[in-house]
Amino acid sequence: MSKGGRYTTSVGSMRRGKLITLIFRIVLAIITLIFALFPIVWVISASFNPTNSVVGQPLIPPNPTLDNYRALFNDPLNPFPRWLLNSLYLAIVVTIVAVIITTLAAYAFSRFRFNGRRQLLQSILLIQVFPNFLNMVALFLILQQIGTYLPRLGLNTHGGLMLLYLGGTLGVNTWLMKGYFDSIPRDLDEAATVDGATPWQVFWVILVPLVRPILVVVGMLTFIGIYSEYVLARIILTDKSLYTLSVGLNLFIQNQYSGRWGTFSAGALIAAIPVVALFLIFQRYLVGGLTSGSVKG
Amino acid sequence: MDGFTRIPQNRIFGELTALSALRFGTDEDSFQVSQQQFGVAAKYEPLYVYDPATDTLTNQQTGVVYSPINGTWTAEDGSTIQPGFMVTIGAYNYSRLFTDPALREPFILVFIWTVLFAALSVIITFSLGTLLAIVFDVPEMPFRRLLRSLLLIPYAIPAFVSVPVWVGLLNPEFGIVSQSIKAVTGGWAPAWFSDPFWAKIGILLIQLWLGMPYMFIIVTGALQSLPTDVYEAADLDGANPWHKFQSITLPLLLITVGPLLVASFAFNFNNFTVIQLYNNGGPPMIGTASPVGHTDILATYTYRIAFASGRGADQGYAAAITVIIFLILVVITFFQFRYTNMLEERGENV
Repeated sequence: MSKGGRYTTSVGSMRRGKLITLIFRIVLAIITLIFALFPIVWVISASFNPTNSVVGQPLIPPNPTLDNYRALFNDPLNPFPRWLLNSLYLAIVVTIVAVIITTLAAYAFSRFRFNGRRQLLQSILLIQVFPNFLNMVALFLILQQIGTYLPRLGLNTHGGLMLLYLGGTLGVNTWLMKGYFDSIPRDLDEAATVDGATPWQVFWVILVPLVRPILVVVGMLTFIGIYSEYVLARIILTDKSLYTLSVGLNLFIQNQYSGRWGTFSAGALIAAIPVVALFLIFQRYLVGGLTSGSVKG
Repeated sequence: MDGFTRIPQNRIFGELTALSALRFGTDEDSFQVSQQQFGVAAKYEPLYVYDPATDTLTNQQTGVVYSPINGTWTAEDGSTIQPGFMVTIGAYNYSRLFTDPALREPFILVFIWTVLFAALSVIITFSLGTLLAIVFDVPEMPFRRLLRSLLLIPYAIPAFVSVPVWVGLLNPEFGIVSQSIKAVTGGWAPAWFSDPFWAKIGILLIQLWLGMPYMFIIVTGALQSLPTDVYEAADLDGANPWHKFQSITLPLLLITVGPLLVASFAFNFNNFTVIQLYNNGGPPMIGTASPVGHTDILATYTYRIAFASGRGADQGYAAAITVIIFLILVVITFFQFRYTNMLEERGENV
C-alpha cells in the first residue's frame, strides 16, 4: 500500500526508495519462509536419517536410508498402515454420508416451508455452539449405553466414532450449505416445476450441479476435520488396531524422542501427505470457503 | 431367604461386564439364576444382604456392615464397595467449584490462561498475518503465488502431526531450536516443558506457526476487496503510510474479518489438540485436588478430570465445567452472530 518517497523531487532517489522497500519485502519473505518451512525440512531430513533420534541430527543426513519407512510398515506392535487405513476409512465414510445428509437437509430448509422450520434451523445452530468434544463425558456415556444394545456402535468401535463425528459435522455444514442454496434464485426451480419437474428432479437435475462448489468445500473441510480429529478418537478407541493416525502416532512418539524420532518423522510425512495434497489441489475453493466463515487453527 | 439384594443402579465405567451380569436380578428376586460363562445355570446367593430397617448392607462372608454415604456403600473403617450408585446431589458439583479452594484456585488459573491463550493466539497471528499480507500483496513482489502456496503448507498439515514435530524441535536437550539458542547464549536454553512461563511461550510459538498462514490468507483476501478511492482521498490529504493503515486499512479490515477473529477465538478457546499434545497440560501444578497443569485450558482440564485420572474419576465435576464453558461460548457466539447477521435470512428465500 505504501509508496515510499512520494514527495521527493528527484526521480533517482524515488527509485532507490522503491528498491529499498522491495529488498525489505524480500528479506521478510525469506525469514517468513524459513520459519514456516524449517520444521518440515527438518522432518524430511530426519525421516531419512538412520540414527532415529533427535540427538545431534544434521540437516543433511550423511548416509540417507529408507530404513525408517521400512520400520514404520513392519512394526507389528505399532501397526502404522492399519492406522492410516483406519483414518482414511473413517474420514471418507463420514464425508460421504455427511455431504449427502447435509445437502438434502439444506435443500429442504432452503426451498420448503413447513411447520417448525425456523425453530429447527435455530436449534441446529444453538446445538452447534456446544463443540462436540465438550460433550465428551456425555458422548462417552451415551456410546456406552448404545453399545449394550448395538455392540457395533458402542465404545471402542469405528461405528460409534462415526456416529459422533456425523453428529458433530452436520450442524455447521447444513447452515453453510443452506446459505449457498439460498443464493440460487428460486425462479430456476419454479420454471422447472412449471415444466413438470418433481421436487426430486428439481433438486437433482437443477440444484445439485449449481451447488457443486459448496459441495467441494463441505466435503474437503469434513474430510480434513475428521482425518485430523484427536480428542474423541483418543477417548473412544482403546484397541491399538482400531486407532486412527492421530492417536496412534502421538502415542508412538510420546516420551520416545530419543529412540523413535526418525520413524515418527516418516510416519508424520505420510500422514500429512493426503491433507496437504487436498489443500493444494482445492486451494481456490478452500480459500473461498475459509474466508466465508469456517475455522481451523 | 428374605430381604432383597439391592443392586447398585449406577453408571460407573470399567465395571461393564460385572454390571451386565448383575442386572439380571435388579428387583424383587433374591434368587438369581443366571447363565454362567460356561453355559451352566447356577443359583446365586447374594454376597451382600440389604437390611431395610437400618438401611445397611452386610457382607455375608466377612460380616462387615456397609452404610450408604454419598452414593457409595461405606464400611466403618472407610472401605467401600465399588461401584456405587446414583444419588441426587443437586448443585453440589457447581458449589464445589466455587467454594472448595483446592478446586477453585486451579479453576481460576486455568480460566485466566484459557482466555489469555485464546486472545493472544488470535492477536499474534492476526497482527503478523496482516503485516505479511500488507508487505507481500503488492504487484512488484516477485513469486507472489508461489509464496502463497508455500505459506499455505503449515496450515495444511494436521495439528496432530505438527505439534509433536515442534515438541521434538524444542526438546530441551537435543532439539535443534534449543541447541541453536544454547549456541548463541552459551549453554542456556528455555525450559520449554518444565517451566510454566516458557511452556506457555512455547505453546504460543507453535500457535503462531499453525495460525499465521490462515490469517495471512484471509487478510490478503480481505485487503483485495477494500475500496481504492478512500486511499486516493487520503493521498490527496497528505496522509503517510502509517496514518493510512491506522485510520483506513485496519478499521475496514476489522469489519470484514471481525467475525472470523471471533470464530478463531472460540476455536482456540477449545484448542484441545495443541495443549494436550504439547505437554499434556504440564508442568503440573503443585498441591491441587484434581490433576491440573499450568498450561491446561478448560477443555483439557475437563478431559483430565473426567478421563485421565483413572476412568470415571470425577465425571460430574467435569460435566459441570463443560456447562460453564458452554455458557461462555454462547456469549461469544452471540457476538459473532451480531457481527455476521447470520440469523437474518436473506431476502428472497425467507
